Amino acid sequence: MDIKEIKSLIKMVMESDISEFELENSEEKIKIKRGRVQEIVHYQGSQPLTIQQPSALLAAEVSVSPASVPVEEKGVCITSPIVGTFYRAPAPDAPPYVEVGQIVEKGQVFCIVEAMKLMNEIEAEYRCRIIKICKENAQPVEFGDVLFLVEQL
Amino acid sequence: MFHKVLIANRGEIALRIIRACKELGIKTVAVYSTADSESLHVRLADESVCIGPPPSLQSYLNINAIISAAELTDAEAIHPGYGFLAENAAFAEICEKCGITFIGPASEVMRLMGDKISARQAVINEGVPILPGTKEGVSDGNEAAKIAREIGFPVIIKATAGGGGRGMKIVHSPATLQNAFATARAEAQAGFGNPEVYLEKFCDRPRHVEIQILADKHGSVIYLGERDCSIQRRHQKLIEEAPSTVSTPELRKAMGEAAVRAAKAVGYNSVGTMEFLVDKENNFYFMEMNTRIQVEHPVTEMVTGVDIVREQIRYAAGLKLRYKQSDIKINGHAIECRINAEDPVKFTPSPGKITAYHTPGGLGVRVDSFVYDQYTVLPYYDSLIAKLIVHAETRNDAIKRMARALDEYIIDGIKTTIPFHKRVMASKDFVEGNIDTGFIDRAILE
Repeated sequence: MDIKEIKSLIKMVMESDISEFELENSEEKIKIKRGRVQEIVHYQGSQPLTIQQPSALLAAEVSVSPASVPVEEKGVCITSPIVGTFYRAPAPDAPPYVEVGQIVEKGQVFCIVEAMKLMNEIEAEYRCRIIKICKENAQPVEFGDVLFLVEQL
Repeated sequence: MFHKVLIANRGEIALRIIRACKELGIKTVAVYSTADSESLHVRLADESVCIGPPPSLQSYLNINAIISAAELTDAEAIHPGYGFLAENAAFAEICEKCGITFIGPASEVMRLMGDKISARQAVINEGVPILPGTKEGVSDGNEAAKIAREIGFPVIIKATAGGGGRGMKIVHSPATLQNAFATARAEAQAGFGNPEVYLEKFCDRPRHVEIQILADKHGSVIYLGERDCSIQRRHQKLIEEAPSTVSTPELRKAMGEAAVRAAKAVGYNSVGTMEFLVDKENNFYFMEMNTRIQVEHPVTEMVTGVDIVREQIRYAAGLKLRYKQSDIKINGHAIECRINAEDPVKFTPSPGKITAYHTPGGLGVRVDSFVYDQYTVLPYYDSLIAKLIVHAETRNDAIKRMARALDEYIIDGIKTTIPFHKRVMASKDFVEGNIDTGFIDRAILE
């Protein structure tokens, strides 16, 4: 597979409703996944390959510190400082802490990351607006995983 | 057998454990700091979880993050490798409490054998010789002076909480003892948070000879012969070999049986190593026990044919020891050179990008390494980047094979200790087997 073929595959995925696409033959394997923040492309083949992505930087592929990291898609990534499970609300039947578009004050709780039965509240370090919620409720998260995309106010 | 194991380590040992798991059909979970995202152990594991930023305290020593990662991935067992949390009894206990199998001994046994003073007390009862010295810590200078006179000078003052060669002072005469004693306590407090020290007779030019043991959870224990780790710099091992040039079948049997007796007495299981000092008269004295897999385990694997990491995982899963003592034979001779990312003369660290990498090959050559072409060696962790191991019929053949393999090994872009190892292989004293723990520090290295 050459770079032209791969680019047209990506274009096809982006222009359709396909969220995940995988193709494998005897020599190589390609997987294209549409995330909420970025398109992720995994390529395993005989030659190393670089692809210029039209949209967001692959924030998760870059070494990030727990602090916020600016991203091409005009927003700041809020990343997880610990390993655990992401929860949007304080309890299963309670309303979520934040919704898309909501303005969050400094010190306000974004979400909970639960680790070893301890609920760790992730707080906003400054006033901001939620642009995107990047994880699903009850999804496992690693250190440095992007949880929210916010606009600093 | 376990379905999934999490490897709480990095570098070459993480790779070693992943290899053993793969061959046992066990799924693997790698944990890594952000600095290690391109590391080979992350790439080769079935799953990986980022657990923190580069500093070890926040990543590879971060118990919460590692346990969380095990729970998230449903790992039934954790292999701690060596270093980091491998001999952390609190970590082993937390695993036990969380229902995760810790691949190593039980936490109470680890505590007992990990503390040098209680370990010495435990083995004395089994008729294992120890170097004349105090059985308990000494807190008073006058008492120390009295004990030193009983033991006979020279003596060595050691910190109970020390290890890896740190926290030791040699005293040659009674005049300097009290001062050295006070300084040693102060340094121990500063270095390890525990001022307790004990005294031992100091052995001049001893050999460091250690016995590898295997122990299952059903009470069976055997030994896999010895390793000679006398080539050390500032108490850090650089070259190891099996068998030892001072070993005789009788000495090996005596040391091996002593190690097995001690292990059985404390209820040890998993793999472990008993370290001994051997003096010029071939008397052996127990020094300490390492309750983990060791860096130099490959030389034992080469001469016995036993896959030690595989066995360790099997026993943790409750399987039985498959070998009788009589099954274990020592074949040929193996040597391991630890290749560090350091200046080969000054031993100062040399991290950076590897711009060309080519490993040696051929009969009897084994490379255990996690680095690859274009990999960047990080400054955050220890400098070991590869272990080069050779096996041959005789010691002389093994030395020639190691010299040949070192000549083929290319690691460009950073400095490594390969030139140092070449000099040792060419040195007359090494070839003739005139080695002891002072070999490097006296240094021939011309």
